[in-house]
Amino acid sequence: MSAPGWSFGLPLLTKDLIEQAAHRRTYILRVVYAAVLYGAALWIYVDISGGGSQAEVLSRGQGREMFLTLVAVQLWAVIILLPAISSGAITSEKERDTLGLLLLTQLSPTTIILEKLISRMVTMGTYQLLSLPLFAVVYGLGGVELFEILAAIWYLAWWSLVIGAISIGCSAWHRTTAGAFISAYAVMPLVVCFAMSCQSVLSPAVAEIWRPSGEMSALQYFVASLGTIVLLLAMSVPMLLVTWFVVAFAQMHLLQRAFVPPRNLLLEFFKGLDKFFEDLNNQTTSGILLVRDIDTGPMFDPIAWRETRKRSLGTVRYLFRLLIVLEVPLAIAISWTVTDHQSSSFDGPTTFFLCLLWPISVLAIVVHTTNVIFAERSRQTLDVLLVAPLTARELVTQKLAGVRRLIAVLSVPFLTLVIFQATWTLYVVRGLGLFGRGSDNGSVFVHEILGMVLALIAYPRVVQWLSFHFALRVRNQTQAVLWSLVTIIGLCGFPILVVELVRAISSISPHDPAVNWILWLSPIRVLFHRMIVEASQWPGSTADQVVQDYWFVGLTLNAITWVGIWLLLRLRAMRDFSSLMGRAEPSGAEQ
Amino acid sequence: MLAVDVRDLRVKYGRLEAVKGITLEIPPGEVFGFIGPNGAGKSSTIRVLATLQPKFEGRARIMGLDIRSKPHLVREKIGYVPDFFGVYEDLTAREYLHFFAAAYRLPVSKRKGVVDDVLQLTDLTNKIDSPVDSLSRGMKQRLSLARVLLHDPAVLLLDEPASGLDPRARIEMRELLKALKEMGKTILISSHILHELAQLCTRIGIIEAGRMVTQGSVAEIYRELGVLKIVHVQVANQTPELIASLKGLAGITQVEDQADRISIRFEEGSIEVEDIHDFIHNQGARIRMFQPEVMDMETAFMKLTEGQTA
Repeated sequence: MSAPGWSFGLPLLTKDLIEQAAHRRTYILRVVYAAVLYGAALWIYVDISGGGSQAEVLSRGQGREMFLTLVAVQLWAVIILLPAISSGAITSEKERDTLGLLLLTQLSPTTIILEKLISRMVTMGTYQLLSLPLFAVVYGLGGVELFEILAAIWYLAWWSLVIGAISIGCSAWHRTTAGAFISAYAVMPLVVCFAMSCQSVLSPAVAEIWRPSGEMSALQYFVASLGTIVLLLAMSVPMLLVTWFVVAFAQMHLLQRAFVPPRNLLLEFFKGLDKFFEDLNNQTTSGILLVRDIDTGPMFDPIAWRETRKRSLGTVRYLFRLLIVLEVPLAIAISWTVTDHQSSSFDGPTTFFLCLLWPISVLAIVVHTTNVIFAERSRQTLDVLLVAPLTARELVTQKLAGVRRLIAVLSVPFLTLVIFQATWTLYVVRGLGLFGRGSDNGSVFVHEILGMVLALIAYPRVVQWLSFHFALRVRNQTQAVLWSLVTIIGLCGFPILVVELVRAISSISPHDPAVNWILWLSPIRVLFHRMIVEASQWPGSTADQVVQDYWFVGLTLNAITWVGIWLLLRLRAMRDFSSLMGRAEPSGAEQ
Repeated sequence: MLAVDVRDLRVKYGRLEAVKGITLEIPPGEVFGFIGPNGAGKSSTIRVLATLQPKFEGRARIMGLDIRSKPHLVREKIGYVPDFFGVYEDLTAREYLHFFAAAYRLPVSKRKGVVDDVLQLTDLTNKIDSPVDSLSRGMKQRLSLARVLLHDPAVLLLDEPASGLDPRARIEMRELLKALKEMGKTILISSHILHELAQLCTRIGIIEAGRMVTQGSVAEIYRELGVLKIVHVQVANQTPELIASLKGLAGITQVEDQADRISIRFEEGSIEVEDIHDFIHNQGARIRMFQPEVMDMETAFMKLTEGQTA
């Protein structure tokens, strides 16, 4: 019996759908997604019902809150899940050397791109279909017009198409799924901003027609509805243009970039940087070298030698130059803050830099750590390494030498930033001496420094060992990166979620010590401590005492938790490395 | 003490039993050829011996060391070449060999001499500072062999070392293996290139569907398989009745009516070749060709195996 897709002439779409259906993760993700969606809906329902009867809830017409939440959850799902689902669409064919075979068939590049895109749209569509019963509930609760629900579905479908097309475009361009995935997230904000700014011109008119004042006759209602549909279609034009542009881009580059060799972009970046600095040095000092790199070869720790010397971030020169690359924009941000004489530094460019640097650092550590294992797997060098007479501990420790160096380099701009922000706040903004008047401000300085020391010691290492943990357990690097990022976000958000849940189901005060201690378990609480303190000191804020009082216990709890997670993950990695890599280790008695 | 001692080895991947009770004894200095179709269980067996397959049943020892309880010691006794190159392409040949010399903890003072020696043995001295990714497939494979010789292991486990090489590279590889044989290394080599193994190996084992079909010296295998004789016959006036009467002849096990000949198989001792000739002649057939065949290794392999996987 032939599959329907073959008879309709969509072989690639059929193949991709069969492949996706065969993956266990498809079903796991769908169940998790449904749980989140229905959980959010239930939470809001409990919130709006306020213990009243069903009839009372229905009479209030409070479906709007649930409607907005559902749309938001679905939009976030599209933003988070779709690049993950779609980025590997074409790169996986490149990685398996099957794209060449596809291009030799009668399928045109446009057909390949469109069938790949549709296959991902179908998968995303199955996620979005899960929300239909909830939209029915929303409509039943009242407060939402049918047009609004239809418009939301229309809107979500378009965003899915745009983001899916961007991911497919990146997949056509890149050699590896990891590269396509990262690029999709880098490109997405630009394209989305363009489409949204186009839409923002049209949206006021839509809103006016949706919510006309006063009572409407049937004819007026019909005309308004018709107008809404026309405007919705008009609002879809920018998205259509973006999709068309991205698909055309993908189609153009599919053949052109079908056989590009794998590239180490980070290494190429460093090599480019190296050449730039060498030229600069030759022009300015006629090539004087203050520090000469001497490579003695792999003397005692060969794997660590290769990880640090033969890959990116190798030599002292590179490290110094990387520091300059990181510190120059930071210096600009600092001088901007200084010359701008802002009353508070936390909303200035340095804080923006800090907020940007953490995600970038986490991503760099995750990608670098997972690559430690997957580079060996893709080069098929893992087996020859595993039969060397080195212990699992030696193998793991040496393999992660490059990551440790990366963490050390990334720590420098963080420390620079923290010291600047703390001193700027104390000396300039507040006009206080260190630990002088206003002990609160002095303590904030101490809190910040201690918090950042903890953050720099524990958090990057948790990220490192967590990524290593997934790299050992999953089949490809993209999955390992995704699982690592999702787990990190989950670990950071979990205490906040717990607090919100507790507060939703009980009458516990936000000033309760237990609530604050739970919040302190999240790294977000430590990293943004000063911001929270400054926010608490705004006029009218009642949180001042709360954020100050639990600092010591909170930070201690956080330190114990995250250092504990770090050590636990490290222990497990050392213990499980051999068994997960399929390497025999000494066991019981000889048989 | 046996160099390789495997008793009733069983390897399972989930529900699939890839190796079903293989027993293997290889004394020191022997070159044992492991022959079998794809998926027969050769690589699984070699991976057990290379300490890369911790889950197995039965006993496996290298130089008297149990793989289950002393894998760390076994690693010092073996040199493993997988069925892929396993080379770091971002290093030069010199860096690659020094990398593994350090990994095998060779004394720093001896490393340069050992690296030079193995490069000379593998005829790669002139490529010492070439990047590995610039080497040909044959050179990469020789570099892999150079790697496993660094720590002077007693046992070499070579999984399809000639796979994917051109004829010249295969001949070079064969000559290199002969040199290693002369050095007294115990070699367990799997390959599909049967006639090359026949020239090189002191003993061979034929494996199919996870089971050892037969093992012994090349001469023993020939002798064993010689029992199954075959005669190719061409007659000018072939008829269906002739085929039917041949099938009915006592001692004949199989008669194949092929496009250009009749292939008759029979057991040694059950009937004489001359009797078959006389029988065909007496049936009134005019014999154009009558050719009793001595089976070569490839035929033996095809005879013994049916291309089954575990």
